[in-house]
Amino acid sequence: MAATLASTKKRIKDLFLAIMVSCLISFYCPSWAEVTIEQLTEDLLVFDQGENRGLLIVGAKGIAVIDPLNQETAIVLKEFIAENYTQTVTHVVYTHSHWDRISGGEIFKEEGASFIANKECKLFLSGNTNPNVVEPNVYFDQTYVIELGSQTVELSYFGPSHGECLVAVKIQPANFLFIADLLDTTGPSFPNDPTLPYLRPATLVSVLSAMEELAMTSQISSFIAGSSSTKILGSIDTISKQREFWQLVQLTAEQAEKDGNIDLNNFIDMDKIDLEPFQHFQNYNQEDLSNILRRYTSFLNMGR
Amino acid sequence: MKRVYYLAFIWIFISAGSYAVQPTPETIAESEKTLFGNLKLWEIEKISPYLYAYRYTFYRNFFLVGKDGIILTDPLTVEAAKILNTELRKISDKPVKYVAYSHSHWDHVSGGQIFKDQGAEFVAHKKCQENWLDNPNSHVVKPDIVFEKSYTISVGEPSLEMHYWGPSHDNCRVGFLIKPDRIMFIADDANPPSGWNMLYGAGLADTYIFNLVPFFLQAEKLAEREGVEWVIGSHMSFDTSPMNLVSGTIGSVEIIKEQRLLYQNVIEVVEKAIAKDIPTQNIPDYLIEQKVLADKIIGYDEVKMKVLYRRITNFLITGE
Repeated sequence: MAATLASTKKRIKDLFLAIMVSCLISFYCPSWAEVTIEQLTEDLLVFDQGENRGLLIVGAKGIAVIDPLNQETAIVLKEFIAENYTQTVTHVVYTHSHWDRISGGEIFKEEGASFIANKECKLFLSGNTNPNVVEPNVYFDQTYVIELGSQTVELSYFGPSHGECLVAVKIQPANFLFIADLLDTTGPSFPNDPTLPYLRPATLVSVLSAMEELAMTSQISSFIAGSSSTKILGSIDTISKQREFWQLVQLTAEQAEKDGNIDLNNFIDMDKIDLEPFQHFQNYNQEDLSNILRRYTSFLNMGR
Repeated sequence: MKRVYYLAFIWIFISAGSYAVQPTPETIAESEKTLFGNLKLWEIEKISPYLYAYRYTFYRNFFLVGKDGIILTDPLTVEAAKILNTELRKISDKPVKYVAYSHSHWDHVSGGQIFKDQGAEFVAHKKCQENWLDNPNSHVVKPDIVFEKSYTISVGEPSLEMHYWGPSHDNCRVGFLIKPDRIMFIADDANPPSGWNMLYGAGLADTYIFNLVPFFLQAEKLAEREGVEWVIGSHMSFDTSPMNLVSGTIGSVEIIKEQRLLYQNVIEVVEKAIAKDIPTQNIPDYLIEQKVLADKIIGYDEVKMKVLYRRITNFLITGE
């Protein structure tokens, strides 16, 4: 009887411990996805975590992190760099102001890294309420060049597009462009969020045109995007095809306005438009298209 | 005993004085043409000896007539401005001295050329000017005067203060304070009869969410400091349900606070859902299933709320 009681007590104790451990594990590592690092060229590495992708560019004089993503990723990157390189992170570049891409830089700031963003990001980052985002100490206007020794990183700002301050990152000598959002490496496609919360329709086409121009003058044939769910390198002609997508959206909205085909809530009657040209784009979805066009009818009303 | 009656009388007198009576706009001109039903295409209402409101379709501006001239706000469209110009001449022979822009959206600020031709000066926040340079519209007259924080224009006794509290609905919207009437106007928000009404554009296009609550807190502060009691609505609105359209010309200043609380509450409930580890892509459906805010938001519309919750979730993830 005493043995049975002791055994039951032990079982309860084990169960209690198992519950406690399980609680602790679920508390401390609930939802963070694994960080993976892949070498694209000798000095250019791609890191993924969750849905996002950033870059490490390793030069003779230092290392640039393009979008640290978050604290967990930054810790893994720091360990990886310490194990594999003698250089430290000298520059952290923010491709735009969105927190889900630029959190976690504090450990690189402690090493003395510079934090760089376009000056239009300041509206969102100066005195911001997210303690995990290090405020840039360098805000630039149109272009900014980072010399890392054997590597050069050139940042170019062409106007509002995805948010107020997205920049294109040119990496040399690899001769790739990194465009964090706006594009999918698998080809021109519908956006993930059809309500287009960050899109700036007034300047979007001119920004994409400027990126095409940059790629052409620099003879760049491939780009990297900020999403981890797609292949790493995309063909540079995706930029012009994606521009054509947005031009088609705008033309369709303009035509609907001329035809009086817009209701009081600014939605277009989808039965009265030609859907066929849109069906060639990836992730085509008629409901999404209706919402995308709604944003554009608002844009045509407001100019913003 | 007489003394008790005397004190009671004083108390009733003081109490009555603290509850001001809402001005009743008087329609002084209206179109023959209707927009739909009995709703006239446009109407002009007199609110006080200096202050008039002009509604064209679902949009509204206001104007001030003083001994030195007229201050107009937001000319709306070419057609709306043409009608207003004709009607103005029936109200006053004073010149249109200023046109004040509330923000940069073309649907509010087009059509001013007819007043420019008469010598009016156009006033806007400097970021509006930048927007019109980035994306010009031939129907939008560029401002002659731009300012950063605040600006006051006057035509004798009536005057208009323009206050900028950072980006909110577009990056250059200002709050108008009408004096001596002490009435405010915040374009595209705070439409009478309630700030709790379902939002028209739930996707919050061109809205700087991070500064919405601070913007309205500043507006409330100004209202309190200046003893503002009423707001004029920039749009027709609805009462109890979206099908029940009302003029929404004027309402209590409390509507500004209600508008702030609507935004604040929506942000807070999404924050709580994130804190509960609800996967972010499921948050809109989760909040709708829980009927969160369904009893607070007038004209609660599940389809629009889904868009709004998605927008706020994205804001809390990205900061924009």
